[in-house]
Amino acid sequence: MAYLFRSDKKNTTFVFKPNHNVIHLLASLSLLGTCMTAMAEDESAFLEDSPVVLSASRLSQPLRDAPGAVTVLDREQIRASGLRDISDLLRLVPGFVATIAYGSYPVAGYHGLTRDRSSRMLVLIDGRSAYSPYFLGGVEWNNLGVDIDDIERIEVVRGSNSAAYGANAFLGVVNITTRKAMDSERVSLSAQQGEGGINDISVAGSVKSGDLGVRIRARQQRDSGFADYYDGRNLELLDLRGDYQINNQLALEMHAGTNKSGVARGTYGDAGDPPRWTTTQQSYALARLRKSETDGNDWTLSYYHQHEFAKDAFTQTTAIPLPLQIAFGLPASIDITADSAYRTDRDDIEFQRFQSVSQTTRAVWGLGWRRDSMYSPLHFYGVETINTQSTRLFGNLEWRPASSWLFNAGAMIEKASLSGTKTAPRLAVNYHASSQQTLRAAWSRAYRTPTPYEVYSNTKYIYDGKVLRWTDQPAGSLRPERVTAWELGYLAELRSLATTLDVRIFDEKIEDMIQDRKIPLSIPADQLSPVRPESRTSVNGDRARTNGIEYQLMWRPSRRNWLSIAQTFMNIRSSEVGTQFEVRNQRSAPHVVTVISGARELGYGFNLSAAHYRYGRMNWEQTEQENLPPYHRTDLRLGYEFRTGGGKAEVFLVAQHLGQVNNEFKQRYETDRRIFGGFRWEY
Amino acid sequence: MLSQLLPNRPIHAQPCVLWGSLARAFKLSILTLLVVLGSSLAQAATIAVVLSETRGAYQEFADALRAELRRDQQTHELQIMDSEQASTRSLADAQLVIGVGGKAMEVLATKDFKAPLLLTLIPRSSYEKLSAARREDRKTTGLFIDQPPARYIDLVRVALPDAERIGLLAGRDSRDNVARLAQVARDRKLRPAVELINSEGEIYPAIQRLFPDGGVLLATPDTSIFNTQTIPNIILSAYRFRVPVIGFSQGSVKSGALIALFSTPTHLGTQSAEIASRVLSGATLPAPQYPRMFSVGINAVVARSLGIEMDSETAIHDRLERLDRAEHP
Repeated sequence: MAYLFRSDKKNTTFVFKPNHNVIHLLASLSLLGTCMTAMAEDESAFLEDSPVVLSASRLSQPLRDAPGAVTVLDREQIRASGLRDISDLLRLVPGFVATIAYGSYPVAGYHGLTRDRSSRMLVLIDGRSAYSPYFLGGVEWNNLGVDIDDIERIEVVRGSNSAAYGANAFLGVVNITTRKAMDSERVSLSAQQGEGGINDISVAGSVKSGDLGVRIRARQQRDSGFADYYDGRNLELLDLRGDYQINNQLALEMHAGTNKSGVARGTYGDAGDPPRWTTTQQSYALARLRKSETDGNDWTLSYYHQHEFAKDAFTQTTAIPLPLQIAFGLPASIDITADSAYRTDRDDIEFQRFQSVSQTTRAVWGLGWRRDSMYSPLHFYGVETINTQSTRLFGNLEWRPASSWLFNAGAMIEKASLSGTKTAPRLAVNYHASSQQTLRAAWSRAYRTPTPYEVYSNTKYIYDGKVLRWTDQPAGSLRPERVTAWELGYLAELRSLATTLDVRIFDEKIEDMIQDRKIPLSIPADQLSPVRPESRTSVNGDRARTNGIEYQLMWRPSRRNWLSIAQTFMNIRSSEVGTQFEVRNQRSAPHVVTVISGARELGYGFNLSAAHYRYGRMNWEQTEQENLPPYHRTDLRLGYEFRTGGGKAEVFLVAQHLGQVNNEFKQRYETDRRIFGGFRWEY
Repeated sequence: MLSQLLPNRPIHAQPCVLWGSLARAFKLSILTLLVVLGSSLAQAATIAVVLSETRGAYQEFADALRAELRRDQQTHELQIMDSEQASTRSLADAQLVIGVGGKAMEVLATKDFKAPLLLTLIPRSSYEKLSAARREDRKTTGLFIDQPPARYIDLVRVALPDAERIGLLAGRDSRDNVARLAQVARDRKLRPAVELINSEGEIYPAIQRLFPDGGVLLATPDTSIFNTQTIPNIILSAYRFRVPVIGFSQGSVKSGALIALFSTPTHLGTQSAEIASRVLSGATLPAPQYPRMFSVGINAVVARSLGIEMDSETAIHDRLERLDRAEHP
């Protein structure tokens, strides 16, 4: 046996001499065996099909074809920002403002009208709605159930898009996609610690076995909020994702997780809002079956269940005025317990179909059903549980009559128990002036369904059969909020200059805004509330009209090196029906927001990123007294990457709020400089 | 007809009538002789086709081979068998043996027969690996399933004229192939970048290193890197960096590669028939070669998502064919 095999090219000649020992012979025989097997399989790579991975439902639409303005944040941008909260990342998106309200309650909003809750925007995590049906509705940022490190990309629809996402996709839709389990690192560890009580630790692991991939993540995120306030938080999360490729076309995606946010609330010395620890726990499970056919035809079927449970209780000792003590036979003081505990359950099922109708026409359509059940003995007095349902039918038709013209027409018809049947249409035309420039005009109408709290809240504090307090009265019925938006867009993707310019000119008319109104109590005299003469209810009231222009100019010569400037100029006008213009909504977003951000690899493993934010005068609380002066903020992050333990590591230092001391939320809350450092290791 | 008279089929003689059977055997041999003579006068010869499997792509190959021979009005007898049926006896009378696929190639390497051998539906690397082990005295040639490096690189130039950086992943067994591709790319003023891969785990980081600022990923037929298990993740990783993947199979386009260049079993069957006709009419066995016929597949959905405007499959195919002709007039 002079040789077993020989490659006749110059640098790879394997020659096995016959006088080698037995071990060598066996080794070479087994090598030949594997070689032969490999050979027998070789042509299979040419002939076999592999799973369809980039199917229509998984692919992102190119920005130039999108029927609206979309900003994408990728992993590099997320990491370079040094930000710890997903809501804060939206600062990088034109038109958004964000802050941490009360030191522990993240809030973000597109084009204002936000107050201290993100109730007019929608966040989806892998298709699961994070819009809480509880209270005034909105995004529970502390309970999103996703770790920032697992995010693959965030697509932010700047504007409204109920036609695609249903009710509550009102002013801004944030679509978070997490990484597939198969793409995740085998082990990933990260921790950061520093000023402001920052103490975060996160561990993840993933395993792959054939067509199955599983990732598990555990994380704890802690900080102490504003200095001098009782407003720290402790967020814990356990998250699981599984991906199973059943065959070349069918894939099953499974998510399950539980997270708990502990938040310190209240103010020292305020009996009506005493310092206390509140918790919100959320668990969910989602399964999605996807059939990826080729040629742009596929369907998905998904179901998820979400359960949320919150605890927030305190007891307040209320002194009863002497006349009332006598008139109603009450003691001198009464302990009133406000137990805001609630429980919500959501079931959601959706079928979605992507179809290539012809060479020039594509369609997406689907239907879904959702049930929300909410239990809150305090807010739904006497009823305790409110059940709501909604059914939706949606579709979008994309027609490309010529390569330079693209028309999108979509609508969602939604029948909801709280708002009746509503149709949310959306029309857009994109004109590709060249392969690098696109002009867009779009019109849309979207709705926000009132929450059960807004419609049914009925909060009474009873003592001995007598109403001591009646803080919320049911609204009876409410119309959904409605936004009608016009926009003109311009997108230049100058590839040779590595530069993108994205401009949106907008005009948004918001009607039937649901707002609080104080109304007198109407209760029988023998049950008269001795403490407060009026209560709160929700009404359809304000109108607002927002117009302006926002743009982002980004130069990104490579994935990890960029410089961007984004600005928003907007004007919010607001009126309460039949009365004069109100101030409350007009200052809910600054007239001008400027964000300059950049990242650069410095060589030798170092990378530096920075962001500078400038916000004009605004207020979150919508009261004249809470107007915040204009402020600016600078964040820096320096990282050093190296290899250790067979994996990739990075140590980093982040400095936030450099420069002046800011009031980002309210005048009395001062945001100090924060410096923290950390490391990550991925294998 | 003829195959019924071939000696490898047992002839059942009845022992009780010895004379009768002798007489019958004599008649039979005369008949055989006449038929063989007649058939050789009519230029008919036997082509033994050894398929790795008698289904799927291999069957498609056989059908195309038969159809092309018929179209060409060739009366050669096709003796189609799977690799288990291939034996020294069953191949003894063939004037040409065609081995289809890796398994057939492997089996044929152990068999003794005189006819020239055409090995096809196998990648060049497999052919070369076995070339050393084959019998020196046997005339063997190959018709590869993979594309000539020049055509593959030209695909990038034709379909994606803006792409300069070409990322390549090289495994232990594909270094030579990758080196050839890289050389052709350099000759054509492109910027090839090669990452060596030893295990599956190295693929993703390699893609990350390859594409700091875009380019295209050229997949190569190395099953240690590109197999049905890894292709989805490679395509996904590349897509994440907005890097289109160029594939070498129809399957990869379905999976999510932007574009692929491939020759189908039908293409190879047709070309094998042409080679067979020439060889059997007295021409010398040609040198191992790449397929002449090929297809271009484009995933329009992926192209749109990546924001890439592309010519039609036919237009790209025709341009490549013209470039092929210019290179090999």
